Amino acid sequence: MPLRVAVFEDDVEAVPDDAILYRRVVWNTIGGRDRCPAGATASLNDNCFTDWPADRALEQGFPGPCMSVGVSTVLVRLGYSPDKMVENYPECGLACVSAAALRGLRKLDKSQSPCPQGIMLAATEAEPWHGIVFDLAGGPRGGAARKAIFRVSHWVVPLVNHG
Amino acid sequence: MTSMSIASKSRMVPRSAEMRSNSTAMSSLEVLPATSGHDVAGLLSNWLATAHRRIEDLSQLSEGWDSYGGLPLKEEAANNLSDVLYQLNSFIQSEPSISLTGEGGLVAEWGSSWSSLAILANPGSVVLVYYCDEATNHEWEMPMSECDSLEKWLWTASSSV
Repeated sequence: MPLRVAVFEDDVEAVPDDAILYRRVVWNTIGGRDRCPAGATASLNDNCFTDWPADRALEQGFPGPCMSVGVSTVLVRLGYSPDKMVENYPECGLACVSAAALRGLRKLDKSQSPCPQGIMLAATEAEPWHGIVFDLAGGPRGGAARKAIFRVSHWVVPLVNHG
Repeated sequence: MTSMSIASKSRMVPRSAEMRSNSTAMSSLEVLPATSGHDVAGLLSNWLATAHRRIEDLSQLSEGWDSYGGLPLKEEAANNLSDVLYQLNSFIQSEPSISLTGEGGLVAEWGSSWSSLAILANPGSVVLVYYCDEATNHEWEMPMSECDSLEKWLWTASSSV
């Protein structure tokens, strides 16, 4: 059966600006548990916000590089808290970023050049709250854009080195 | 990828790292080593063996390690980052934070009060450098082969100051 490929469309109705997007984070994405002092909360980094490369995105039915997230509006509608996303992943923390921050994303450079991201729902059987984030400029998200996302991101369920 | 292949990559490190260390040169932000060019490894830093062990540990992870279908570490990426760390170790003052990427690559990062720097080695791609000067908020992103200031940037970003 031929793979049905979605079209990227920034869906401001299904994912309004006040929506919060969640992404799971594991220790090996942020340098490993050993880098975090005992008792301390780990720091997020831009590696938490990388796309699937184009070929892998296509396998998932998406036309280009994109990043998997959970969408707060759907989680709320289903009666779930964000913790639902890590229910089956005890080794994962959870980071968040607002939809408005992603759509208005700007790089750190002097001209604060825009690098807006698009967001759309992409429900799966296992995760009906699933959505994707893609760079509206097309192509894989570069380091400066990933850093920009990192700067507007926060922990919801932090990874803490309990020693 | 097998752990054996990563281990074979790291065999150049432990013995000589124990015998010859440049730890005394790690305390100054001001003195950039005079070693020139990317083809001279210089004295091996204490952290290099730890970095190779970290890469070896990451090579043990299987597909889906990040809960998003992340790919296991590819040997090409491991070799590329190992080579960079080995060749440039005399310009690096502190152990990098090394993470696996969803594409089966590696990213090594340093941050100081002056700047932050990341070296990204993804499979099927050239090694990329990202540098941010924290004082001016200037950012640079380029292939490592085009980065004329890499040694200076590494020295500054890996400072403990």
